[in-house]
Amino acid sequence: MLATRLKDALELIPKTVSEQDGQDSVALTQGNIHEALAAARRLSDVSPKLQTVPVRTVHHLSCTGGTLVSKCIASMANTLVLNEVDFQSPIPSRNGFGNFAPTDAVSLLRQGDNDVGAEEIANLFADTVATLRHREWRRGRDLVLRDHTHSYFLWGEEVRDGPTMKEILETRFPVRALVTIRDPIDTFASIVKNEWHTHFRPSTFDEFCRRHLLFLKSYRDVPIIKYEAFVSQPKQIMKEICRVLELDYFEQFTGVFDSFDFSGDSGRSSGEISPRPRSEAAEALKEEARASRHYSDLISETGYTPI
Amino acid sequence: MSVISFDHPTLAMLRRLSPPKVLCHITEAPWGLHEYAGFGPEKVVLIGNADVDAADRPNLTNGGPSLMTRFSAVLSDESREQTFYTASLGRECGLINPAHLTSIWRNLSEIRREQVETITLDELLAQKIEAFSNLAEPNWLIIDSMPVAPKLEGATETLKTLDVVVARCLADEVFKEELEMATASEVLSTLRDSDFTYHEDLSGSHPKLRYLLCTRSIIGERSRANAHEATIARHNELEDQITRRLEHLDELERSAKRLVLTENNLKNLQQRYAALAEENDHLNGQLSLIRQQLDHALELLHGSDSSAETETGVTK
Repeated sequence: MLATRLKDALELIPKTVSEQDGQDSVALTQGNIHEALAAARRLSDVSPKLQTVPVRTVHHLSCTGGTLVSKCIASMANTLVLNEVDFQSPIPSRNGFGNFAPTDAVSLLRQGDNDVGAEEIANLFADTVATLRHREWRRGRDLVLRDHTHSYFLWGEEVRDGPTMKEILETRFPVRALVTIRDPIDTFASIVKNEWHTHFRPSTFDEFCRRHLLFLKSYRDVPIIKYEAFVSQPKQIMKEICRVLELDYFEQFTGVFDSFDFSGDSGRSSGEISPRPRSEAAEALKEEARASRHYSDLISETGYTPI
Repeated sequence: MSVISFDHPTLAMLRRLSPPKVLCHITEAPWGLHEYAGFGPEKVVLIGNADVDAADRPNLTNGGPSLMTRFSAVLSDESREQTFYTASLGRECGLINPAHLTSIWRNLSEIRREQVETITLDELLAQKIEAFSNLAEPNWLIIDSMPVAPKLEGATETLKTLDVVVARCLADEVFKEELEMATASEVLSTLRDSDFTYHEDLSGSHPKLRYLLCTRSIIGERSRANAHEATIARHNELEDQITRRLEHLDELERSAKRLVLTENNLKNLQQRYAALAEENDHLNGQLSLIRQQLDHALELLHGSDSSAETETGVTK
């Protein structure tokens, strides 16, 4: 009788008392039942819910309308968006003061320690996210990280090695991820307009498509939202985004999203969400697209209509 | 025959200060290139009621203008039909009835009169400058044909480009109502309104006729430039004010949007709090149950320990 009652009681208590306390699981036996009682009392102070709180991540290549989508996400109820995050980004800072980066822990670490490895940076990143996640959880806010995917897939001689942001975070937290994409023709035309195609070699449309495919492969299991669908039906698609990221939807976001001032705003400058006609530059990519080996694969993968 | 001596010392000085690049000469008297020999305008535009426009004629006279163009037109303050009088003295042909000028020229008589369509100097020059690429806006103007005041009234744009104006007019003592627009006081009034300063009379052919020499007023020019600068400064200041106000409006709009977000966040937090409170109540209920069960278990354990001690006589 006693054993049954105790067993029932013990099953109601999670094995891990508290992540913050740093304590290991407390095995309840008749020998340490006093400790068990104390643990049960501590449970009334520290909620185990934090363990289940996800970190949300959004991933998209440059010039895909990502800033617009991110601003809209930031307009959702009690949502904090960290814009264009990549602790491993090889893109140098453009503050005009050389290595001066007093608020940038990664730059400071790299300056001081030549031997710092990617894994250590990844740990620093995860620790930082853990701190922020706890902070925002206590404040009742949901944390969203907008990945600076350009740094990973569209910078340098080859796509970067090593774990993606999502893979790093998944080792520590539950992650809800979302990928947004745009028609590759329009995307590349806009990238060229901004002269960002020079960030990778060769700076061709075919190479862009190859890297785009690698990006999609890296996030194969992640829900994808198309920019074109978003600008056509922003409210409907935003509800879907909120469902994926587990955010509280805010109906009036279309009227207030432009109050956020995010970096990466390469294209749209108005406060209106609506489809736009294809640019002449995009039309001019027709021949290059037809000659591209990876474009057809990308079209098959994304479901866009070939140009 | 020239009635103006281009050797006049003031004209010579003005010629150096403001070389006559394009000299516009309005006259009904016969003029030739040689009249300007030694004075040196680059181009001369002659305007009078000649039968046809003359083609450009190259300069064959040393020291004269490189180009002389004659346009047939009768100038006035506006385009309308008016009576043009041909007088027995060529210079007095024009819009004044010769009968009104007999106090000056006793033997002056009307040869014929005709209805003509007048045009303003501004309009004529605008047409001709557009049509003839080698023409430009004049910087000297000689009006030899009375009445001058209506011609100046139709030349407000041309006056802006002029540095020197010579105007033939009646001395005021011969004023008659029908000659008012030909008087010196009327002409000077019009010129002063356009920032010209009267310097002196050039020698003329009759004591009752005057050749007024006027130049652009440096003071007027300067005050106009100052006024222009002040206008620009005021304009810039207003632009800055508008920019600042627009930025302020943007900031207010942004603040209003942030307020909407904050209000929604607050509302959402209240909902989350209510949900958490409900969950907390549920968890507290569960914890109470656990505590009761554990307390009960402890009591049972204490009870069994006491029994054991009683049985063995050993106390921990």
